[in-house]
This record gives sequence, C-alpha cells and structure tokens, in this order.
Amino acid sequence: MDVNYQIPRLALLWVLAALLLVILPGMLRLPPLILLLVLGCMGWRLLIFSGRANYPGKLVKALIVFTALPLTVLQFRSQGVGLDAAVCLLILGVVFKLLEMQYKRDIVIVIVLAYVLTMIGFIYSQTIPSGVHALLAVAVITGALVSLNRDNARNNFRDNSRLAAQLVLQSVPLTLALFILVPRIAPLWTMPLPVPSNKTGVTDEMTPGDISSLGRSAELAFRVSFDGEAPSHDRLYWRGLVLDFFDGRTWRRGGSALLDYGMIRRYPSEYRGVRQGEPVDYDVIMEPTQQTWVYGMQLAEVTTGEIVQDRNYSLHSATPITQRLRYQLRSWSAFQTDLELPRALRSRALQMPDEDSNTRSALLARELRAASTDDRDYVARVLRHYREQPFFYTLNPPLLGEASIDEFLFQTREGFCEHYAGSFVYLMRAVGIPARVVVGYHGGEYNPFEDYTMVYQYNAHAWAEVWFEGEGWVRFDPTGAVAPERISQGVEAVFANQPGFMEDSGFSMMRFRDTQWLNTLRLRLDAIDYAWNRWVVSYDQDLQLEFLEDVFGEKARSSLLWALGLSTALIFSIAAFFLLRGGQRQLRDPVTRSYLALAVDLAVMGLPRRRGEGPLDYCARVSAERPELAAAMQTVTRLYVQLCYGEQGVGSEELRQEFRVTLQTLRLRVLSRARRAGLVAVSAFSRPQ
Amino acid sequence: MEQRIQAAVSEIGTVLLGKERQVRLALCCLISGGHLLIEDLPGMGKTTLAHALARVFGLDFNRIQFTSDLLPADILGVSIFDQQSGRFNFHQGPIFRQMILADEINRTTPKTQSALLEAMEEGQVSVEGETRRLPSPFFVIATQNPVSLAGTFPLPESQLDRFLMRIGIGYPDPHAERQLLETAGERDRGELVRQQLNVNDLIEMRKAAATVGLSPQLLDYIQRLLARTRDSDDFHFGLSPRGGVAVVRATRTWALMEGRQHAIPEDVQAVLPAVVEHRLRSGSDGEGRSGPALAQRLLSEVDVF
Repeated sequence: MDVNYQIPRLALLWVLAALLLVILPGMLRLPPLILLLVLGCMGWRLLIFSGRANYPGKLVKALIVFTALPLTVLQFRSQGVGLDAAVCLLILGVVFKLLEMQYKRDIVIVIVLAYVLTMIGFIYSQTIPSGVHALLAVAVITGALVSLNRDNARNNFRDNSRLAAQLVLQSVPLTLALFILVPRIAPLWTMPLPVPSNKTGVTDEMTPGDISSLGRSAELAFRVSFDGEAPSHDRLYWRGLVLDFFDGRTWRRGGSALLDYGMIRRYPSEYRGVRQGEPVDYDVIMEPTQQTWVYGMQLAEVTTGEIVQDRNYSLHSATPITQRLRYQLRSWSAFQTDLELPRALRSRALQMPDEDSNTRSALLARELRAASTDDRDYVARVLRHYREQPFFYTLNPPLLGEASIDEFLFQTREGFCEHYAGSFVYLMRAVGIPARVVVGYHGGEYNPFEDYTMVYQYNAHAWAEVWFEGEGWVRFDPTGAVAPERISQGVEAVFANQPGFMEDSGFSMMRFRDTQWLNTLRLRLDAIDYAWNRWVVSYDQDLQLEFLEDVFGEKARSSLLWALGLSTALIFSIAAFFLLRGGQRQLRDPVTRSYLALAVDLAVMGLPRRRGEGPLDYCARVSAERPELAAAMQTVTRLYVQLCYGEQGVGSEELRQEFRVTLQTLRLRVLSRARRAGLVAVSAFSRPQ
Repeated sequence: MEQRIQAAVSEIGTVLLGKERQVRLALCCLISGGHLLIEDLPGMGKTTLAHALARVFGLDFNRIQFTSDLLPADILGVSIFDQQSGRFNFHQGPIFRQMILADEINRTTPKTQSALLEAMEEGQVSVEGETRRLPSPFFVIATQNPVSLAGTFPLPESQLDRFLMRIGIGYPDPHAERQLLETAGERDRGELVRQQLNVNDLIEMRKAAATVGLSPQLLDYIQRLLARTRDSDDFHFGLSPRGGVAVVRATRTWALMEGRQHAIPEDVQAVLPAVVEHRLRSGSDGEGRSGPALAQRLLSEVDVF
C-alpha cells in the first residue's frame, strides 16, 4: 500500500477521541442496545488499531448493517420515524465507517461527519455548556484533521493540539462576524422536533394538591425583563389559564374551544378591555413546558412573538413550547375587562357541580350574602372569614374527600393557594356572583446583575377573578387574606423552613440561598445564562436589524446587503486576480497571442494544440491532417518560430508584418472552412489546450 | 557541419542498426562535452555503440570492466619503484585515454566509482598526492544493467547527476533485427566504423554549439519545466540547477545538429527525457524506476508558447 494513503496512527486516536466527544451528550438519547453497538464498534476499532483484531469481513459487515437497521426501527418504533431515529442512524453510519476505514479518504469522511454531528447537537440543546462542548468538539476534530495531514515526523500530540487550537481561535472572529451579519432567512422546512413526554409547569386542570406539588420544584419557569422599573412584588401576577368549570373536585377549562382559542381580534372592540394608566413593556424568555399557553400580566398586548390572546385574555402559542420561547408584551397598570358580560360567559362563570355535596359551604355563602349589603361587601366578608377563622397556609395540606370544599372550609382548614382560590370561587358562585379561577405564577426573584426577574416553578399560584356590574373582572387573592406575606414578599419567605419546599430539587443551589456568596454566584450564573439566551439564542432577524440599525443607522438592511455583496465581490476578485495572473503574464507578447488564437481557431476544426506540443510538431500534425492548409501553416510556423525563438530584433518589423498577414489569411481560411462545416467558434475564449 | 554529423550518424548506423535516435543523442552528449550513461540489458549493443563513437571521432579508447574487486589504483595507475633509477615511476592506469568505456559501473564499490567520478567532474586525477591532468577531450561512457541488481552498488543521485544523459538502447525493430540476423558473424562490428570526424571537428562543434541562440521565450519554457518538477507532487524532488544547465547545453547542441542557429521547444523536448530521467524520481516511487514516464508527463503538462 502506498504510504501516502495510509492513515497516520496518531490521527486514528484523534478521530476516535473526537467521535467519542461528539457522541457523548447524545448518548443518553440512544437506546441502550444501540449504544452498546456504537461503543462496541469503537472498541473494535481500537483493537484493530492495537493489532489484536482484524478488519471485519464482507459478511460480518453486511450482518452488522442489516441487524442495525431493523434494530433502530424497532427501538424507535414507538416514537415514529423522527429526528431521533435519523440521528441514531447517522451515528451508526459513522461508527460503521470506523470499522472499514483504511485510507485517508475514509477518515476524511468520518471527520466531516463528526462536524455534522456536532451541529446536530444544537438541535437538542442551545445552552452555554453545549456551546462550549461544540467548540471543544470542533477543536478536537480539527486536531484529527491536522494529525491526518501531517507527516509522521512532526505528528505529535502537542503540536497538533496547538495548531488545532490556533485554527479554531482564528475562526472565532469570522464566526462572530458571520453570526452577526449573515441575513437570517426563515427555514424552508421545519424539523419535527422530539417532544419530551413530561410536561412541566402549570397544567390546565387544578385539583387540590396540584400547585402545591409545584412548590417542591426549584426549576426555572421564565425570566422577565422590564423596560423601565419593575412593578412591585405584590403586582406580579403572571396570568396563565382561566379555569371556570368545576366538577366538585377539579377545576378545568370550560366552554367551547372556539371561545377559548379564537383570537380576541375577532371580537368587538368593547370586549378587548379598557386600558388605563401607564403602559409597562416587558420581555419574557420562557423555558420549554411542552404546553401551548404562555404567561403575561393582566391584559397583555403582544408586541412581538408568535403569540395570540384568547377570549379570557390568556396567551397562547400556536405550537407546544418545546424550546425556549421569547416574546414581548405590553400591559397597563390599570384596566377594565368585560364591562358587559355576554350570556355564555356569565353562565360559565356561574357553573356549579351537577352533584354538589358541599351543602355546608353553600349554606355559609347564603348566610354571609344575607348579612351583606352588596356583592362587594359580600366579597369582603368572605375574605374576612378566611382571615378570622383558623386557616393555615401550608405546602403540605391534608388530603380531601368527596365534598372537598366543605372539608377544607370546616374541617382541615389547611391549604395551599389552590384550596383558597377554589373555595373562594365556589362561595361566589353559590350566591350567583360570576367568578372564576386563574392559574399562573406570582412573584419572582429579582436578579440585579442583568436587571431581570426570575420566576420559578415554586412561584406557581392560583387566584380568583370576580365580575361586578360596571367594573368588569376584578382580581381577588384569598391566599393574601390568609398569608399576606406570600403576596408582599413571596413564597420563599413563607416556606423557607417548611418541609417539602423545593424538596424535588435535591442539592439545588436554591437551597443555599442563605449563604451569601453562594447566592451571589447563583444569581450571577443565571444572569449569564439569561444574557446568552437573550442575545445569542434568540438573535433573530428583528434583533439583527435592531443591532445593525444601531451600528449603521436607519438604512441597515440595504447597507448590510451592500457590505456583504461588496466584501464577497472583493474576496472573489482578489482570488481571481491571483489565479489569472499566472496565465496572463506569459501572454503579453502579441506574436504569441495571435499564434495561440490560431490554435484556438484550429481547435474548432478538431485540431487543438496539445499541451506541451511544440510549434513544429503542431505544424506537422496540422499539415498531415489538413493538407490544404499545409503550405500556409508551414509559413506561419516558420515565421512564428523565427520571431519567437530566433535571433531577436533581426529584421523583426518586416517579419512581424509578414507574420501578421499570413496568420490573418490563414485564420480567415480556417474560420470560413469551419463555418462551412457547420462548426461554431465556441471556444474563442478558452485557453489553448 | 550538419552533413558531417549526419555522416557520422550514418556511419555508426551501419553497426547499430535502426537506432538513429539513440546514436544522435549519444553524439549530442559527446559534442556537448558531457558523459554518457547507457542503461540497458546485456547484449543490446552498449559496447558496440561506445566503440563506434570512439572510432568515428578517431579518439583513443579504453575499456574498463568494472568488477566488485576493482580498486581505484586499477583505474588510475600506480607508482612502481624502479630499481635501476632508484625512483618511483608512475604507471598510468587505463583512465588516461580520451574515451573510456566504464562497463557495468554499478558492479564496483563506491570507492572505485568515486575515483572515476572525480576524473569525470574535474578532468584530472589525484594519485599519491599528485594531480595529473587527463587527456582532452575526455569522455566517459558508462553502462549499467538495470535489471539484475544483486551484488551491485547503485549510483547515488549525486553521482548520477554527473552524467549529462542517460539513454537506453532498446530492442531493434523487426526490420533492423532481420538485417542483423542476416549479417550476423560477418563482421566485427565496431571495427568496421571508419573515422568521420576528428578532435578538431569536435572542438569546432563545441564552439558552434555555444553560439546557438536561446530566445527569452525558450528560456521561459525551460524554466517552467524546471519549476514544474519542483512544484508538482508527481516528483519526489525537483531538478537541480545543474540539471537545468545540462538541459540548456544539450538543447544547444541538438539545435546545432538539426542545422539551426536557434533552439526551439522541439529541441528541448528531444533531449529532455535523456537529460532529466535519471535526475528525477516520482513522488510515489521509492525505486526511481519511473523516469521515462515522468519525463513524458512533464512534457505533456507544461505549456509551450
């Protein structure tokens, strides 16, 4: 085997390391059997490398491939043929290639595929660690490429890593420039993204215990940054869904889908709410939930993002949120909604369970209503009831039976916000006041490093909205009556020492928030992550335009195109200059140039001058092929040789003249012959062969 | 002059049938003042060619058969103590002739080879601390067998470079072979060659060759050829400047032999394979056996204008 096509031994180790590094984060997504196969193939390659095993034979290779294919299909059967299966097949393809790579050509394929696999990693994760991982992977793959192309004498680990690191570092500015400048074009097709089965966050049902279980999680729900000053903590109600159907135990979304999902623009303007006070602009980056609804403050108007608002002023995305979602909203410090309540909505806001066993609660409601002057007074009395009776706000409420409202109001009196919101709405409806439950989040932690607010799963909350004639929907939070510090300071202040709070988060840094430096570190890390998401992951066409307008002024788009076009043209013309210069320098002599033109003409007749063919040889060949041109050709060649290779400057002017005339005559003859033969001088500009 | 050269070529052609091109190249090499390496199988007419060349110029000629036990002194000569005069007298070795046929040069040890090679390069020999000039002109025609390499000492590149040309002779064509078979045994072939030229002719030709014009375009062409051997991956290493000078020398002589006062690309192309083949090695060839194909490739890859 020729030594030039062999794979340097060191390069093989590099490639194996690079491949392992690239596959590493995806390994957990691979089914165990496939993972075993992948690692097995790599191990085999190592054995080949150390001379303890041989390359697999044709039969073995066929066997591996034809078992791996059905195996993949079988493993991914339940998920359908999607991205995961395709990525799995690609990884298998790469490791199989490992087994048969013997020449440089093969290893180059593996290296290119490793680059592709690195890029595929970004489909799954776009966090800072995955960015760092990709950079590292690219460096190691480049190291493999360096090692492959170095001769053995200089092929050592240190030099290769240094060169690879240099190359990667040198490419960073270019990458940044491309990232900032290349126009973002909407994808022509969308990738069917893998949908993780576990949905997170607030759900569209509320059974006592649901939201308190979220209190055990310290995972991030979303992050918000306000333009200007953030509203005070007690006003940070992040509205999610409106739950207005109660079956005696669970609150659900009622009504028709049409009503819920129809965009609010379709409704008459009086239903859109009355905006008052100061507008508040804010920017939300939401963690994936696998659900479609998103969060905003009351009566939010969507300024950017693919978000629509439904009839209950809840916000929805068109597709489940499988990746971080960024959108911008505008809310008002004061508002009124549904001053006129349509009959359908009113009946939904008054719905009671069909089989209602909460008789004591209904009785209590009627007693309180009889004692109060109007609906508002009644609400105040109910809230006072919560405050004065020994109600207890806890994350670990006791389980409730059939008549859940009765049991909570009169027996256990221990509950989380869903208990209070649910029972409160029940008490309203029992006396004919339209009311409904709203679930979402409340509060959030302010991060001073990047000036934004972090909202965690344990901030999940439920409250109530009550409709009054002439006022519309008014928000009441019965939890605030029981635990006022929950509203003013946040859930962390209330539950910090209660068992169960953030229990599911293990050794989350949240648990060490009392240690000063750890808490600062936590906030700092989150701030970095936030900045990354805000400026890198969600850098899209709008943000790009915004940025460019800041830099180039108003005409950013056109100047961007100009800059791109001009720089591309410049690069190509420089390259063209260097490429073409070599050939042109030698063609300066007019005699040579016209002689070459003759050769081009003759090429049309099927007699091209061969590369490296001397003028006399060419003349002899042409004369033999075309005897009718022989005499003229010989004269031209004689003159050419004399002019080009003879004694310079001897009677040259006359010779030149003679050469020009004979050459012109010959070319005319050649061309007329060619035209008669129906040939076209297509190659007039091609270089002589 | 052209006719006289042609006459010499024909004269040699009577003993080396159908090999006009090789004969012309050999003559070109001698007129250019270079040494010649003939590489071919035994019995192809190497010695005949060498003999004929010597006779046609009327040069005095010696043949040295190189063997593995040949020592430098066997070639150069030794000083022997003369008892009568009581002095050392130098007895010249076989190298003190105008033309040497070094037969099977690769059979002898590098030590002996280098003794010959010093003589080739310097035109003089150093024996026992004394430098002695060799006759002028001084030609070496070396032969070697390219196939059976067992027990040989192949000439290294630096020594191959001393030869202006390397030619092979090759099998005769059927017509020539038939003629050869018919007249076999009728003659001692080398002896039949009559002298056509003399040493003065040779000196004259050499002077004339030096005046052959080389146009800038032609020198550009030669430079492109040289550059190609250095840039392209096809070649293990490029031609040395000495190789380039050798191409120019041979080109001039060839143009003269063709009756031209100016060299043209065809002249370069005619001599190039013989001049550069032994100086080149393919990029993927450790053995150096791919010379002829390489020279042809070189010619077909470089533009002539």
